[in-house]
Amino acid sequence: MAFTKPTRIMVIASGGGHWTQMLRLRPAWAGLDVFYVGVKRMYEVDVPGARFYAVEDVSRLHKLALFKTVAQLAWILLKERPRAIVTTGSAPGMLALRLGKALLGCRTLWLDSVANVEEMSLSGRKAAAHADLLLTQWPHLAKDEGPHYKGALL
Amino acid sequence: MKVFVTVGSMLPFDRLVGAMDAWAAAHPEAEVFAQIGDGGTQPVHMPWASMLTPSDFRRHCAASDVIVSHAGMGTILSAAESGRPLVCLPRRPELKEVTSQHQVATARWLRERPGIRVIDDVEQLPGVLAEAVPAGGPDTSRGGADPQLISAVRGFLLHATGA
Repeated sequence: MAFTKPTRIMVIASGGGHWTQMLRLRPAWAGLDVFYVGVKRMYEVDVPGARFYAVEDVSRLHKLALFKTVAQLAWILLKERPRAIVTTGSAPGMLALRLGKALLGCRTLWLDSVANVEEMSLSGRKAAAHADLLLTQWPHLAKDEGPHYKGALL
Repeated sequence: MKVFVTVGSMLPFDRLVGAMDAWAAAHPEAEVFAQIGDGGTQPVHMPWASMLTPSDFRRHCAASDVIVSHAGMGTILSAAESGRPLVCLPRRPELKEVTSQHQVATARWLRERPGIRVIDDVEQLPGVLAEAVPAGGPDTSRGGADPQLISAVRGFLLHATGA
């Protein structure tokens, strides 16, 4: 799409295990034009030398934060104009995929956390309609129409 | 014994923090430190922080003899990386400790693995901590980071960006 920077990739993950699993996925974008979005400024130290943005965390129990997170994500997307978005969850990643699709027509990838052993996460199920590639880390959760299983990060 | 207690940062987990605070009171010889997240009841018998930076978090993991935590994937992976045994209590949605059953499912998956003891109730805590601490961290391995997954994601990105 003409409005995006054709090589740019946004990588977004919320805290804890989402962030840890994203870090394990880094070889997938080694050498590419990538920037990161996390939910705490202090995570910046994990991605030295890369552009990093912090957004407000959001969950079903923090609904008021939603508006702030959406505004922050929209601003980041319009400033950076990524061509593709990768996320390991959770809610902020799902919002980023939806906004990226709607505003910029981004190509989008969701990798569900390995913690979701028995069913896809709720954020993952919400992201499904906005993800060009929807992945689970458990083979028994894979379906023909997605999510797909390509392996795990452990 | 050095014990690092961590319950993530998303929601308070008073059930586990309170039980460890009581355990710390009963075991003054133990060195206990807790990361308790935001908004919970503050412990009085153990030093604590709401949130540690990633490097302080790794330092506390490495310095501990045992880690006591919720069944969060970040903590479990950190315990595995630092080679420290883990005692974990899954958060339960019906107690408003989390929004889904995923910690219960994670705990069910890892329950029989070496280096991890899953407990279902805080009453089990003193007994588990009194037992000999196993050597090494939780075995979360399913064969290592799958090169096929990395290359699937890379292939998607290369195609999307025309690189």
